[in-house]
Amino acid sequence: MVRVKIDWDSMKAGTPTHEGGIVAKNGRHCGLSALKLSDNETYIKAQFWTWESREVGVEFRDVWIDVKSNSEYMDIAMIHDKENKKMIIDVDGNQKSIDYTGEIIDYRDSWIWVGANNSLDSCAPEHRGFLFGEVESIAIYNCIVNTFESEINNHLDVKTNEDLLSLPFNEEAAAVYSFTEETKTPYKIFDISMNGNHMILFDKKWMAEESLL
Amino acid sequence: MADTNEKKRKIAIDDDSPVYVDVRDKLNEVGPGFCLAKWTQVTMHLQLGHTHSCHHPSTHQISLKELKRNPTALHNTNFKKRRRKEMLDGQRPAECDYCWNVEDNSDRFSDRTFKSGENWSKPYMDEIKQLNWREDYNPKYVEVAFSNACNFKCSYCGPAFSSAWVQEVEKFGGYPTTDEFNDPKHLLYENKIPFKQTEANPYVDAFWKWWPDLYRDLHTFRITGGEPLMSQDTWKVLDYIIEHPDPNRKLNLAINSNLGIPDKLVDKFIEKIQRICDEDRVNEFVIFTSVDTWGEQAEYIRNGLQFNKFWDNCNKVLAKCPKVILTYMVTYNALSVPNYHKLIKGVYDLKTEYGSEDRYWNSATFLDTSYLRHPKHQTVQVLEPHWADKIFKDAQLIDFLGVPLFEKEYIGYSDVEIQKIKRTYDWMKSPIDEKALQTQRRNFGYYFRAHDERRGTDFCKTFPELEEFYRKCLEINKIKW
Repeated sequence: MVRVKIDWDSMKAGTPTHEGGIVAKNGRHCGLSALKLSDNETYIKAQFWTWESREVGVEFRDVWIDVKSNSEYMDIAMIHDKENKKMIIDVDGNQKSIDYTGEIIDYRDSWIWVGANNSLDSCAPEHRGFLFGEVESIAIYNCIVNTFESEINNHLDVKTNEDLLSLPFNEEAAAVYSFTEETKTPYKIFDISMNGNHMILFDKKWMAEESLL
Repeated sequence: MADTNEKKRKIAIDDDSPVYVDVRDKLNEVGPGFCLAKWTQVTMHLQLGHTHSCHHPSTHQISLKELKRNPTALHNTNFKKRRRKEMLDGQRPAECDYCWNVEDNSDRFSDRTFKSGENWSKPYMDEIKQLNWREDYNPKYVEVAFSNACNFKCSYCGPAFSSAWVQEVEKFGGYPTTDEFNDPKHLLYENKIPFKQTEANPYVDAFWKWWPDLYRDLHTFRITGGEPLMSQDTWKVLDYIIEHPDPNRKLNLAINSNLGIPDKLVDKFIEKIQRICDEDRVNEFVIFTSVDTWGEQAEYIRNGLQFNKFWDNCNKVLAKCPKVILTYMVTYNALSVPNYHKLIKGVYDLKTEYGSEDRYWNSATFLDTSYLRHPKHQTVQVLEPHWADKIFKDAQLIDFLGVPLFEKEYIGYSDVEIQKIKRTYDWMKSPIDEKALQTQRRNFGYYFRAHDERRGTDFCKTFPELEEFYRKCLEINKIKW
């Protein structure tokens, strides 16, 4: 789940800026993105890839919601109903879904990107998908939940580092982030689910093999 | 479910560093107990005539007979040479169990790897591997305590390292724990009666004989105590460096201080530092100070500490000595846990405020967290298990305040500073014998009750978070073995 405001004016249809990753796993990209096909066609898209069999191979799946150039904050969720093989996209309570067959491909070795689909040099520039907009908060859960609002509200009282430590462990979450002064350093965003998965600002220099600690 | 969560937590805080993996692998090529610190590092407690290499093994007595013919026996004792032989023969010396505990209970690196990876150790690995175990070796990293003169009596310390403790136990005797903590008779048994500052000390004499030769090749020289700034020998070392016509400019000089001494001494110390640094007489000047948590709770643990004054002195040193690094040596104990996050944040704020390119590292301060092992009644393991969650959260906090890369341009906590808190969590979670635990909890209660009576302190007022636990500890009957 993510609360985000999209700067549609900065996105140009027909150029690499026409699609911006909001939260995505790289490789065969999986996640939420903002999509502008023309000035009147703006969408939030949930996308993923599946594998069914050697004959069918991998298949791209996506489902879109028309957001009519909404430039206010939107609460967006990508919900995976694994049991019923269904992917649901929710934008401010409006839902669409797509059924799939086979299995979602293995994303365990992928990185989670915020504000891009993939920023690594190995990715072709047209697929990097840098986002124009502002992400306010993100929550990634291990199960289907209905607690986004309370989760995000949980940390509104966080004014100091000491307050961060009073947050409860959230065992349903993998990571929750809120982009405020209190939850960030110049390099990291605190994982307020208390699972220790702090997000790190991407810089190519930090990824050099010899400098990895 | 609990197992899954435990696993998830472990994964979330786990890390691996290729640099340390490489050091560990090279050490293991010689043997699983091989550690360069046994050669390259020494701490000499001259007030006791004791020595050890690495802080974790207990000290042992230096033979005056050996010393008479060889002043380097302050380091190269026959006892230590036998431990070196064990290491070269593929054994793990029993005295190094601190590291074996870390290695056997987690995937974390132990200090064997950290200390052997230091630049006062690692460059000498090949040379040391080739040495005969009987050979004398001049250490590169030397720590020396000249005297036990100290104005503090920290709760986990004792008369061997604090003259204030001597005065207390001479008056009241040992504490009413099952091991009679700090009973003066233990000093007799362990041969740890400290020389008084006014007495002639043959170990100090041997040191000054060895010093001109030792000084030339030193990578790091560190003066510890007692409170070193209360010893004349410390000032003698500083003056030696100031007056030397051809000083060892590669030397990393470090001095321990509780920074709780009178203003006059702090100012005199700052003057000497400024002189040494301004004339580039050393490569680096580091002050190692100590604090174990924040505010009143820190004052309780380190009796004699006035926290605000101490923190002012830290700021004063950092402001007036723009090249100096200030490292906080934390003896992380049961009483550190409730407020440790405040210290993490406080040190981070100092890093941010005083970080500059004039310093050897951009970071002006470092937080070095080592968990207390003795006395056992004050270790984190005596606490109720839920306190591990607090340590886990502190590990998350320090990780959050960490740098992405340990280079001069970044300000924040380094990987080593972070790892040391993570491994404290692992250690707290490691198994402990239930009967021994009950004994140590009883000792915890009895120790701090006597502490309050003798020193006029108030445990429950200072540690309201631990009041219930403390009262429970007092109700535990003496365990019969």
